Amino acid sequence: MRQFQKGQVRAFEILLERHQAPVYRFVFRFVADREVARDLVQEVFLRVVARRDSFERRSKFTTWLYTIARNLCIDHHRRMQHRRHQSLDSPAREEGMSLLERLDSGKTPPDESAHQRRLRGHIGRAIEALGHDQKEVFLLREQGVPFDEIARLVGAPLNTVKSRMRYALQNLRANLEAQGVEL
Amino acid sequence: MSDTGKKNGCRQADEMLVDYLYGELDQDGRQAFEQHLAGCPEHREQVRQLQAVLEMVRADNAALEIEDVAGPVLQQARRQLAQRPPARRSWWLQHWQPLAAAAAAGLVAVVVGVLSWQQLRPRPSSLTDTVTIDGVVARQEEKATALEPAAAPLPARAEAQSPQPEGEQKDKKIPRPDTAVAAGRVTAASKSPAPRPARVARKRPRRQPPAKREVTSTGDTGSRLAPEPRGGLAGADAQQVPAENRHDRDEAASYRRKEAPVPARPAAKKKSRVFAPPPAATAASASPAPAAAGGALDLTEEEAAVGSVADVAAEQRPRPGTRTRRAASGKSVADDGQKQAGALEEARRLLGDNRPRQAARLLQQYIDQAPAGRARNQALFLLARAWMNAGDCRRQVAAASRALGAAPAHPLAAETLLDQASCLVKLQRLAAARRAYQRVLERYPARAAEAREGLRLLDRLQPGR
Repeated sequence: MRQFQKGQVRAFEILLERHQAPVYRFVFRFVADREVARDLVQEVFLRVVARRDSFERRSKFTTWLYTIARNLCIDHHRRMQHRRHQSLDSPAREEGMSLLERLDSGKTPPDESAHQRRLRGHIGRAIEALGHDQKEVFLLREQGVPFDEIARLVGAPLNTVKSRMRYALQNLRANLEAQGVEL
Repeated sequence: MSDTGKKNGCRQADEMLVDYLYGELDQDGRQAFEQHLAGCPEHREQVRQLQAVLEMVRADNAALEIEDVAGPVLQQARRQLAQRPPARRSWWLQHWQPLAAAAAAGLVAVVVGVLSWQQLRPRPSSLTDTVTIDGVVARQEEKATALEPAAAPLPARAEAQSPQPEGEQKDKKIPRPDTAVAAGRVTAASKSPAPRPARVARKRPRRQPPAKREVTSTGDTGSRLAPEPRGGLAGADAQQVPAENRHDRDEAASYRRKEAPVPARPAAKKKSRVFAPPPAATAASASPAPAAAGGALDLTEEEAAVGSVADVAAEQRPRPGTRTRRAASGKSVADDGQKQAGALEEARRLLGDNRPRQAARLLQQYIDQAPAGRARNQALFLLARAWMNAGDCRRQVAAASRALGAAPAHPLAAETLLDQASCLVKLQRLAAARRAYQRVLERYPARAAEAREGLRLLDRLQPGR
């Protein structure tokens, strides 16, 4: 990060390689839309470049990075809340398949089984159904961000974060079971 | 194990559950938890299920196709990194440099004023001395009034400003300090070093009409005694009035002052003396600031109808005259540019921090002041986004119209238009919403899917159409 702050492009490339996939997963799970996720991830890294001078080494780079990603996701989420578009994860009755599944179905590799595709849809819906606080804690921890960093990032006490995580896991389990997924 | 002991154990296990699942318990903790699991089938089952959930999610994460963003990001990053990083100015510079610049400009103005007055300085005469002394006293008192309005001795002030008989004036001229003390007013005038006459001499003619008459008759230049173009009979007005009438007006004003105590000058006028050349400052404070007025007039009809955007702007609009003073203080354009960029950055940060209303206020303020250009267009789009995030559809629609009118090819245009369309649906303006979606279809094919989705929704809302 220090090298990158000095303006070394190679240092930024390394950061990008290292963090692109987890940040993408975090954002994609958050917004449940590939196109939007791609745009937001781009925006995340462009902000990293633009604001590199404002990064202070008191916090970890990942904390800073995911703070940017989280803020962008929340920003997007709030906008979408005000839109009356059909939710991407709500099943469209006439087609019998959710938009998320349809979007995914066009993009997934041909060797991926129908079962896997369905499962992805279930998982996506289960995560989407989580409350905002629980979802962000769960997604951050799944990208390897430790609990104490998450606590700093979301501005909540450590115990609260762990408590949100427990509820998130329990709700996920309940949501998946409700969709008929065997555990 | 007793029921109470089991309950306590389960409560503890609940607290340790997450740490156990993520392998964050220490050796002792893990052993204690597993010991509890051995005797608690409910927790055993719960842990098994949650582990299954996590495995499922992780497997799906691993199989998730990652959209590669490296290409476009690196391209832009290289461009940005190739540019020299902006030098970070210290906190002191950021906050005090503008003030220092303004103070320097003010100082220059005062020095120039003093020098030019000295060039035209009249021969030392009894009249001028008198003028100076009284002017100083008046100024000192004015200062005292501004600082301690309640303590200002109003009757004494009226006396000070009333025209004095000529004989008295002659008595006053020597020696100065005694005169000041004899007047029974602010003694600071007598203690202070000899006052700078430039300011004082200009004040005098309005306060001492007889004196002025005398001076004029001696053939002194008009410019020397021309009324100060500031406040009262200021600048252009005074210049346009013929000399005799001007005198009448001055005299009348003088008597009016005698009859009624003069209220303390507003602080803004005092400031304008320091920061700006008098005519500009006076004009700015007397009439609405051109910038602010321009900002309000810039509103589209739709926005004007909504009114709210202008209201917000009015809340945050700089005080009249601010820009004039800034411009006059010699602030560089580059500095303004930096400040504007800072405002945009701050607005983005506020948006990111989910404070859309604060962002909107800042953006509106920025838009009112910024010249037309890319940065202003960006601000217009961000404003539309801010209102969208705030859930204020009326303002979003207005702001979006303005932004799209200014820069239809902006990268945020499609997104803004889609936002506007959904806001129009919310506002039950379905025909307008349909037009907006159709516009997305025509102009922004990359977002056609969302537009079609919106049109389908409209079809459901208007089945007969």
